[in-house]
Amino acid sequence: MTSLPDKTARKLGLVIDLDVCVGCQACVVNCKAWNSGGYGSSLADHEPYGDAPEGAWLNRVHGYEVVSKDSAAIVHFPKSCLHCDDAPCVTVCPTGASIKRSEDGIVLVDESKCMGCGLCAWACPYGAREMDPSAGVMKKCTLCVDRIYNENLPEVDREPACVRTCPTNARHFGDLADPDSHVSNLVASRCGQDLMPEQETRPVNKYLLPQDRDGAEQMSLSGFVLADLADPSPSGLLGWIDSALSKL
Amino acid sequence: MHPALSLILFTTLSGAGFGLCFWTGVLATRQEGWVTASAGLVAIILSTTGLLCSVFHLRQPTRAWRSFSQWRSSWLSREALLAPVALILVLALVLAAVQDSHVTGVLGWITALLAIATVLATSMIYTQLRAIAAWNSWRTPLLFVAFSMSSGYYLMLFVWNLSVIVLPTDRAQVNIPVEQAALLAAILAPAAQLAQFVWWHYRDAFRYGMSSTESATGLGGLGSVRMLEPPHTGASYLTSEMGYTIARRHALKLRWISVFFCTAIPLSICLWLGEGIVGATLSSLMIVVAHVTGIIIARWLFFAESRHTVMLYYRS
Repeated sequence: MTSLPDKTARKLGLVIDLDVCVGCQACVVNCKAWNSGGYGSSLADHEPYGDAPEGAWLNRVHGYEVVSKDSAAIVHFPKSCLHCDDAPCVTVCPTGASIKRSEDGIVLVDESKCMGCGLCAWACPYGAREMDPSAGVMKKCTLCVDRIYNENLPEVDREPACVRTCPTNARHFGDLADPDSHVSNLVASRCGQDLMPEQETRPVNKYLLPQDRDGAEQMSLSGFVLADLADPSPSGLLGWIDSALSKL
Repeated sequence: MHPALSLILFTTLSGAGFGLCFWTGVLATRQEGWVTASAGLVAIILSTTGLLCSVFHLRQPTRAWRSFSQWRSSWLSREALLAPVALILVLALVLAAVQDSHVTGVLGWITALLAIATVLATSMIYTQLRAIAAWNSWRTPLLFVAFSMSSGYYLMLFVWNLSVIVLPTDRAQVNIPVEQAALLAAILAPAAQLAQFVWWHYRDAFRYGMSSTESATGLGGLGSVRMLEPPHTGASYLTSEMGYTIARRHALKLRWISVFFCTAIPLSICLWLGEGIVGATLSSLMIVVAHVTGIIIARWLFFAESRHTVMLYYRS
């Protein structure tokens, strides 16, 4: 049923740290790799090695330039489904293919029911859904539902492929309904952000913003002469010899 | 948004068809049964053609039957249920009218109500999408209903003229004063055009609604945000479906071309209305063709000019 659950027991989702992401695209590639062989139809491409490659991807990394009065920064910005509490993609679905699970809050597409009308992709303000060019059904992030509960995998691998592969730990997976979880603590301590809160989708996934480094620089540099750090002062016997020789 | 031909034809033709259903129902007691029956059959053919066009938008059309199931939450599902109910009612109205049944009047009003509800449900499929600010206002249902009423009425004029030619004289009677009928014809196109101007005005004022690249990335607190590196170098479903820009630069010209077809031509022909019954039939057919052509151009713009928030993540 494409009505939304009043409340989900858990809110599984991602916390993405924009301070740490280096834009290496490993999460993009591993997402594509896992989901080409996992839940549902394969994530297809058209002309993958041709002049105009095109295909369905569930996770993409954008690069932005953030300019303020006295600084400029480059921010790498991974974007995948936010598994919204008020997911507009679910309620518009006419066939019952789109669902939000009441047990863990994951938004999924039952591909056997999808008629490929594309209305859910229009309803999503974030562009999290893409039509599969070959199967003609809607594809989206499953939060690797076929990994996180998969007892055939070693426990360390039971997290989404993007999280597992991130070399800088920029992506964190957990239960955002549990206030004591690792992800909830991150959101609380770093003021986790919603994307487009004005769209009233109440996303589960949160983003941690790049932190201000100017303060840190001033603290470490004030009163220090950097050259001194390269000139170690010995202690013990060597220190006594050093000071005795200095006095000569 | 990508202006898919299937959806442009679907909204225009089913809009006109259900508009004719509406007028057939409302006027059922004021015209001979055979005239009501002719109008009803034309309405059924047109609405069904429009609905069939929408099937071409589906990638898995064999699963379309599932769209009857989610009426609790989905406007598309509600539309899918209302449309056949309205069409069955028109069929019942046709049968009642031909037999001159005493339920014709009541059935007519119920049919009219269902027809308008179907058009409203169609418009709500677009109106409900908050991500497309231009669509997400009361102006969209107003637009769809206004054009449905006008195109339906011009079809009715055509059916009236045609039945004089096709049916025996006593069966082609329409008990509506010519002045009233002409007044409606002169009012409906400008009224629909006004709804279109109101819609265009709103669309131009709110391109992305409240959202911006700053709010889309959450980075607005740090400064102004501009895309530096796109996530993909080629096209994608997102950019081709939601990032349609071709011929947007001709939008203003196309708007005036649609006004010309939608309103200017029908009003000029209304003043003339041809010589004799054959001339009147031909000119009312020309009104229908011109008006519907204008709606198709305006509907193309309805999609092509509307912007989706996902493009805020790109260089828009």
